[in-house]
Amino acid sequence: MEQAAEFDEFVRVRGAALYRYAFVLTGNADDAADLVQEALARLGDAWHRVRRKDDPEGYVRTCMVRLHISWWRRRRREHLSASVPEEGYTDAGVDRVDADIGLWRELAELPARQRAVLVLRYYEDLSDGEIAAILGISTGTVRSQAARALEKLRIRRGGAALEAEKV
Amino acid sequence: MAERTEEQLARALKAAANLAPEPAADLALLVAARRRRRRRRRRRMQVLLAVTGVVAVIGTAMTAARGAFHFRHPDVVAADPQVNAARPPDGTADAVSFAPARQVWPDAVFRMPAKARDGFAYRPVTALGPTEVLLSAESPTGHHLRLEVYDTTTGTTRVIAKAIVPAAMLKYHVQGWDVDERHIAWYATAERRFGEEVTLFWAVPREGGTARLVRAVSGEPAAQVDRIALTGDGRLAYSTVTGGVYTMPLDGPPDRSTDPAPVPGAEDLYLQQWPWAGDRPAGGGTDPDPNQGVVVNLETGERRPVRAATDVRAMRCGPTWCVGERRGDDGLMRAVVQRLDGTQRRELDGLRAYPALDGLIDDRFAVLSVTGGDAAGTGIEVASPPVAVVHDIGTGVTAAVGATEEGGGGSFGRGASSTPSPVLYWNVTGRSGKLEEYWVLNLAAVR
Repeated sequence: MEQAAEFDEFVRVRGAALYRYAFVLTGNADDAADLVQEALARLGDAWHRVRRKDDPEGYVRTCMVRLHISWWRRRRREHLSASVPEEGYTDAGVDRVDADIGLWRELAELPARQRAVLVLRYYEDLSDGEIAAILGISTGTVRSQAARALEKLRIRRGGAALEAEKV
Repeated sequence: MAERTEEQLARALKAAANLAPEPAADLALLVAARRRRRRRRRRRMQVLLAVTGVVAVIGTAMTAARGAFHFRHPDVVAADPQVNAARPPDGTADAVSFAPARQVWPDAVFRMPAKARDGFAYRPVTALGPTEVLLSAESPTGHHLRLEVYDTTTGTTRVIAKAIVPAAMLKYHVQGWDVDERHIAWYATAERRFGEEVTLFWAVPREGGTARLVRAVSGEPAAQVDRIALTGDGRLAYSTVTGGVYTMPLDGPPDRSTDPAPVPGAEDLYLQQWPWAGDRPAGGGTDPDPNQGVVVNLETGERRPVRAATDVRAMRCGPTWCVGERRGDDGLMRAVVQRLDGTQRRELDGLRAYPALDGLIDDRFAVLSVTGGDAAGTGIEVASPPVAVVHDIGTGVTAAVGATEEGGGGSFGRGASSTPSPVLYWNVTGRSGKLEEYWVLNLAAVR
């Protein structure tokens, strides 16, 4: 039962941070709660295997990003095929940050993978190589997805990226 | 509109994270609950696979561990004198053999195609009579379901109903069926968005028509269905995996008045064959070993206790008969058949109970597994035993069923009805090794 205690400890210590991460990924509280619970449940089931590699945090974060993207795809398919009405959500506290609220809303409009790339790059501060590994795509795809997302959000890229684009 | 910077984006994300509304409940508890639910679902899937798919694969390693029995199969012995030669020199006289069902009950066994002309896969469900078997026919994509009836006198099928698979449902699987004089009912499990489990109950008049959704039930524990049963008076009953029986009318407005209502006194019971229920879940649940302790008539409230000998395990009972197994003084496992009160007890050599198959069909037929292996218990079989047998308690006759594979093991399926189906079937593979036909045994045709 020591392993179960270890896992519970992990959830207690890291739960809040993971929930915040889920909130940034999904854009709303309900989906964030669902995402973090599902990912942690999977981590719990794989705990024995994962703890030997010593990186449960990495496992659960990767799991969250991938789950988020696959759920989004599934939901979109449903949406297209059955016209399931999209549920509205209130972004309670976020309304207070007037300056960023427009940007936050527009982030919610992005396809899940583009949004995930931005979250990994600008919230998690990961390199494009690391992002590629987590999402299971090539570095080139990471760059093109990020570029497309930034363009939609009308975000001016740094000098280096701008140069690369012109080449 | 003015251009934004990457810094603004990073700030917006971090601000959002910090302002994320606090989760309402304790995360560790929620995660634990979810894991329990997943475990239950997995277990349920295992049980369902064991009960409704093409079932058992019995390897030699498994039978070896379970007590050896010197075994000869008549076909194999006749075909291969080497097998005879391989028998232990003492030639144990109690070697058991079982004739195939098609020899024992020629009128009850037939061959039918495993697929419809349009590629829909057939799955036998239950018997509608001695010459008719209800089939489910599913499209390769799983989006379309037809109910068909195979008539053994003409060797033809006819379509009696078509059913819709709701497009908005994910992981939609038809799980169990039941039939009474007037209706055919079935239930399916599915997931709504974000994994909410939902159970859908459907019904169609027995003469045919359009399938109608009786009810969609979600939320625990009512949505975790163990078995269903039609009650014969226009209601559909179901038991849940944690115990408890509910009934609801097949017709009526979808409001409070038709909500599933618990059957009083059945809080810890599981449906068997209406009106009978017992205290063991379908497939034996997580632990098939404990004996059934009681048989209850849900219409009259009559409770019949089960009296099993102390060393008997995995006992399952209908209203009259029980089947279980026990290890004899010689160390060999044998199936045990007895009446509820423990009288008329018989032990069956070379056979074991199959608790995952929920005991008796019509309080009369027991599906039993065959303990292969040689007399020395090495697990090396001297002949290829059948996958399973059907033992008729009424007449004492036993017949072999199932498709045996080279190198031991094999499989058979039991009809997908919740009430233990009188239909057993197994694959007939063509030269290419592809499934082409089924052998089907309809016990409703055994007099």
